[in-house]
Amino acid sequence: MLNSKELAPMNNSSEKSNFTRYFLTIGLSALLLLTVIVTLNYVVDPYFIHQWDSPLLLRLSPAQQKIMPWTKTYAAYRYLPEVVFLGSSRTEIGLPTDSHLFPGKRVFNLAISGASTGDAVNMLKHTAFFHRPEIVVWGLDYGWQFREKTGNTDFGKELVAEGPYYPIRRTFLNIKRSVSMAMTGDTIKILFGESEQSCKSLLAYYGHKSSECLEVIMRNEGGTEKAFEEVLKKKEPLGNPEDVPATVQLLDRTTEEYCRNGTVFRFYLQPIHALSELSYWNTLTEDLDNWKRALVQMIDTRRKGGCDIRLYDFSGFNSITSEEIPQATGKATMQHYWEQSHYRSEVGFRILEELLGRGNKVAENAFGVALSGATIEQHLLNFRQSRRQYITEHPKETLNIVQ
Amino acid sequence: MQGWLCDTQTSILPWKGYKKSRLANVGASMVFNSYSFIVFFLPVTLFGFYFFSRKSRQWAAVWLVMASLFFYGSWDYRFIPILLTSIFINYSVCKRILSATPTSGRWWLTASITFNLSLLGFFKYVNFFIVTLNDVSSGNIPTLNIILPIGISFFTFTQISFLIDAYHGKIKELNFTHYLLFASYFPYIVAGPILHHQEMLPQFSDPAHYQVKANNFVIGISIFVFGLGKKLLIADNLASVINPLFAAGDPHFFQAWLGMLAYTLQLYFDFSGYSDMAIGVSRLMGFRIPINFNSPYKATSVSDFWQRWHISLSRFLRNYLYIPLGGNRQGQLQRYRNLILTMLLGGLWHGAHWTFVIWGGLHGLYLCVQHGWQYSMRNKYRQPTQLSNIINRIITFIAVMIAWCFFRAPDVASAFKVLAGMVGNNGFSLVTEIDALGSIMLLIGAFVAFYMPNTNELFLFTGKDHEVKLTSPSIVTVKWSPNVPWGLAIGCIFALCILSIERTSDFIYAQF
Repeated sequence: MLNSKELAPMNNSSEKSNFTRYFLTIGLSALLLLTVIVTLNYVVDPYFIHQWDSPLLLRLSPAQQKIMPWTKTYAAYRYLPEVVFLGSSRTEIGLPTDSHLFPGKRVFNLAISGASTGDAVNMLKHTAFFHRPEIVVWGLDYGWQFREKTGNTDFGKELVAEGPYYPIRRTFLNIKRSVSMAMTGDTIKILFGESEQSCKSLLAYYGHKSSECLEVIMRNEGGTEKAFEEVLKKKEPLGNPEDVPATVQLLDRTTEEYCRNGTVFRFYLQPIHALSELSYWNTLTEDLDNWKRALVQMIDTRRKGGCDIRLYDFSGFNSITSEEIPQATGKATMQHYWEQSHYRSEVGFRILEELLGRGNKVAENAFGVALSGATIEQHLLNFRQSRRQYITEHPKETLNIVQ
Repeated sequence: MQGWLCDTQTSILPWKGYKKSRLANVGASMVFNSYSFIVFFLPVTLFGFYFFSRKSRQWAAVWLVMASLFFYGSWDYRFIPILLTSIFINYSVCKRILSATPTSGRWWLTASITFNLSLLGFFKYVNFFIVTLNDVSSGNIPTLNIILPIGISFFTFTQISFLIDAYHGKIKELNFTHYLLFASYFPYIVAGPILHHQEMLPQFSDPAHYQVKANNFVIGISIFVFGLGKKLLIADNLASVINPLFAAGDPHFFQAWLGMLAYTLQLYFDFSGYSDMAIGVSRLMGFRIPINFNSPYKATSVSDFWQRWHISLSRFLRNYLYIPLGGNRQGQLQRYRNLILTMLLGGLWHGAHWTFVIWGGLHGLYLCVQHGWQYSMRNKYRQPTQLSNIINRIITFIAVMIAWCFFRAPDVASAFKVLAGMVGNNGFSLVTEIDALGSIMLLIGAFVAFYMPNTNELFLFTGKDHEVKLTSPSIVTVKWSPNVPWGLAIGCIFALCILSIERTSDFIYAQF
């Protein structure tokens, strides 16, 4: 065993007082330092984890804002939105909240980057705990995000409201979250004016990621053309969803519960760019079709039960998604897309118009198809036909993808 | 769904941490560097231990066993039956060995070692053999869906050494509770050090170790915080330097060297940080577990390195593999064979992957070259000078760093890509984008590893019973004592660690 020179067992009062002083010094210095740092983080709140109706919302933030689930769950608790948008980063970036389609309503975009279907369900539960939304617009992604398990790792279950003590629990969580080295670094940057100041927080736009933030991100990442270079090279399709039946059942249970209380649901399939559609699901077309069939079946069942629920497919090879890419046009940007899977707010606005039945269907031919048991098979046939047509018309772009 | 704007939560890095072995549910586990351990488990365990110690030593030991099983089960409750089966069978066999004749004792020993290696082999190596067999024979045998129980290599080796010593008559006393505690003791079970019964069982039997002693608390907390700091403040921050440097796949010369330097330091601070925490936690309960590191990057030869790095494993391999194989007693050629064999198996112990085998083989080769050189120069021995020591340290460090390439890489091809970068095959572009905090930690880490006294020296361990050399050159001479300045320093390190817990990663050695 270790021996000799180590401290001998405590044997006199002087040694005892030395040890006591040593312990106290460790404890008090750690406590003091932590208290100062946590207080500073809490007051500065670099990630807006407890802000609403606050002048801090006008503070310019980095373009890539952190821990959005914290920010949005707090805002939902304070703002009590009547119309909510759910989904992944596509919805967060794509669907604007300043739409005139919801006059007089409190609209909030609760979509979060990397969110799974399970995350979206939890976000709905959370906001409905304080105020049941009247309208839910829900963007669905095929692939790994269509699953029950968490997709955004910052969206812990503890953020979802349940029970009567959420405000107290949330305050405790906010303090605990402030015990963070990364947050301390960002707090210090803000205090010393070193923080990136690119755009206003998402909260200033009711949860929608603004174009000014996106411009900065795209500039930093190298632009739209560079983003499509990756798609053109891509050969391996992305994987199937983990468990379609269980996730569809989750949606079924969720919609049933909220429909009973009169909530209106508008689901839509995300209009990622046609090349991404090809690249991601090139060999999975049958699985993709079955996924759509399962969703349609769920929607039809709910509709028969009296629920105001619709499903629209904006994906595929339509007038929006087939927009020519920078490699073909020679332009640096695209009209409808930031990059291969994220569309601009203008597209989002048209999606909202279509979902709420207020769009000019004739003018916007072939963007957004309402799906039901009666139309699904024809839609899938059309989908495949337009896919073939797109490949024929774009041999250069699709060369590596479909070979 | 991919796209730049979408935070997919999944890394695209070719080397995204350690996935060579499959670990279960690591995220929800109770590790030393977690709030649940520091705020809940440790205080409750300590309180219970000293509470029961006042009533009965047996109860206190049982309490520690329960706490250890809870700790182990927090990784995955399915691991507990595996651990207990291993312990019960080994204990029963040990009793047989102790009461057996030499012949039947040998039979029991063989059977028990076969059992232990089979258990280890099934969980850790069976898929490796299936894949290798498929590769060699172009077969298509399906791999098994096996979850690797955490720490299986550690508790298996700990018990094998016990059985061998029982056969050799080195076990005097066999108390079931103490054996259970010895094999399941939570400070070591996840990532070592590999315990030796001669160090632990006498302590479990000694009433003096069940008394509250302030100096145990003072030293235990200080060492624990030091370990926590090594892991959270240095090792974890170095990851931000390493990952981007290797994201390209074909790193340039400077990228490769900087990345490997960062990894070499990260591995040391990660593993020695864990060992310090284990030593500190155990010391809080009055029990002393063996040191595992002794400034390994100050080593002046590869054999010196192995006396300083993962000391408990080196000791096991030497006592229970290298020496039984014949050691250096049968001539130079046999010695080289034994060295290579020992290091190959030592490499394989780390995981079922060819990269580990190559890593072990490289170290075996290094040792052969070193001993061959020393043998050829045996008649020209000169006292090492300061300059020769510096040159030896540099050569040893570079050799060790090159071998770490294989240790870290997900496959052999990736390791060769890095090595190609290190010899300049991929060009010589300067590294322009390095994380600022990571770079600072790289400098601090290098300074601490090369020039500062290590934890053992700082806390006045003499190491008499650990068969380790504790003198290592440090340009900074500093000794710890329980005074206010040290209290302030430890308190601040602890506060910074608490701030860093939210983004910590798993211990690298927990996979072994």
